Amino acid sequence: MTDPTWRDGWHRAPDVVFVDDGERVVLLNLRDPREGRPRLLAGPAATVWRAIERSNLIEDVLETVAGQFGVPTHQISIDVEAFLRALEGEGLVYRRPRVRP
Amino acid sequence: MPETAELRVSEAVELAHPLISRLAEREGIRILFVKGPTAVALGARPPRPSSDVDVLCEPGGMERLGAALASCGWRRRAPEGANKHLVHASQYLFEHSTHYIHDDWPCDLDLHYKFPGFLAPDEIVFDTLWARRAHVAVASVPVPAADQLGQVAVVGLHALRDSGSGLLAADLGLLQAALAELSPEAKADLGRLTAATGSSETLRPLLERAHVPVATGLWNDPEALRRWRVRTASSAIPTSSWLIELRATRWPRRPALVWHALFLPRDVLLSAHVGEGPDWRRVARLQAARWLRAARSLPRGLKAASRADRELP
Repeated sequence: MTDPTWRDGWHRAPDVVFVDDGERVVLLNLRDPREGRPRLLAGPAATVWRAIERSNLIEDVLETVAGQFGVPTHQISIDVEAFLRALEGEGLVYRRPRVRP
Repeated sequence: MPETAELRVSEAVELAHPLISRLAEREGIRILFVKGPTAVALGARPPRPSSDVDVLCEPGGMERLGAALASCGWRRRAPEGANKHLVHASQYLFEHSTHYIHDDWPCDLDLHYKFPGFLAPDEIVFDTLWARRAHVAVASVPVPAADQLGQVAVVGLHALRDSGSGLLAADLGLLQAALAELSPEAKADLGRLTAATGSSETLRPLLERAHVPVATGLWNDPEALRRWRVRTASSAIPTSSWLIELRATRWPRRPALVWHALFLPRDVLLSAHVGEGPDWRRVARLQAARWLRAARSLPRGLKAASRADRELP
């Protein structure tokens, strides 16, 4: 497991606040309030956001999304990884090495 | 990939709480959220959507907080409102806040430098509410807010000030029911809070109905209380402020005042209707509706204005 997307755990950034009405999630990054524009997540994107609250392991996130949308994990893994990296690029999530029990 | 969100009103209201809280924290300004989602969470207001965010700012902090909001794209709404023509009647209007709006946020921010009905000095009111503040989760994070009894006082004063509104009457109904459930200790605590903030007399109608002891405090300015009573008695009458002003205005100036009363500037007219387009048909409809309300309430307005003048010290 050399790919950091898999090696590390994913976490919501501490400066990000959000509203989730069950249909869509709107995020606001308060790290620099002057620059922060509300970002919208809907469908699988919102599911990923909710999933990383329960588990920061990408395999668990994939299982949650796959289970909810009825698709095999291998079909969505590339998209989910790319999405997490995009969130990371915007400072909405961050990675930290997994802590193994 | 995440896209920029076109905010719904409910989302804007919630997200604006931690935004303002963060800006205030960075500027070292103490703020408390009142009314809105925090009051609902604390059981001091019936659940209903808000279209603005009410913030009580510590005295001396308004300018810096306003500048911090401006750095994020917020601007003051209608800084030169129609009230500038109400010189004499302004004593009954209780100007108390500044509104901020943003092109991408469909909600108002209502920054209060005081809250009408608290007759104690602003510093004492803020410090009293701050000392007993709560933290309420809004948009996933805790924000500082007036605690339950502080919210009861704020929501109660707001509802009593404009008791002609059906929504505010519902607020009073919920408060009465909530107060009835309070323990004797909590009722005594509310009595002390209202005495400390100079709201024992202004909240008296609510407190007495709920059998909360009305304690006499230091802040019993008879003139401030008289103005409050004139305001609460005439608040449901749309024309009363203009008619109070008209009676106190010299004859040569009256035509201009009547003109200003009849034709509100477009931005002022629209300021109470967040999210509505400023097309001329909409403005004309709002203007016509305002005239109709004024015509219907004219007899009551004349009586209220005459009563206010008679009660002048």
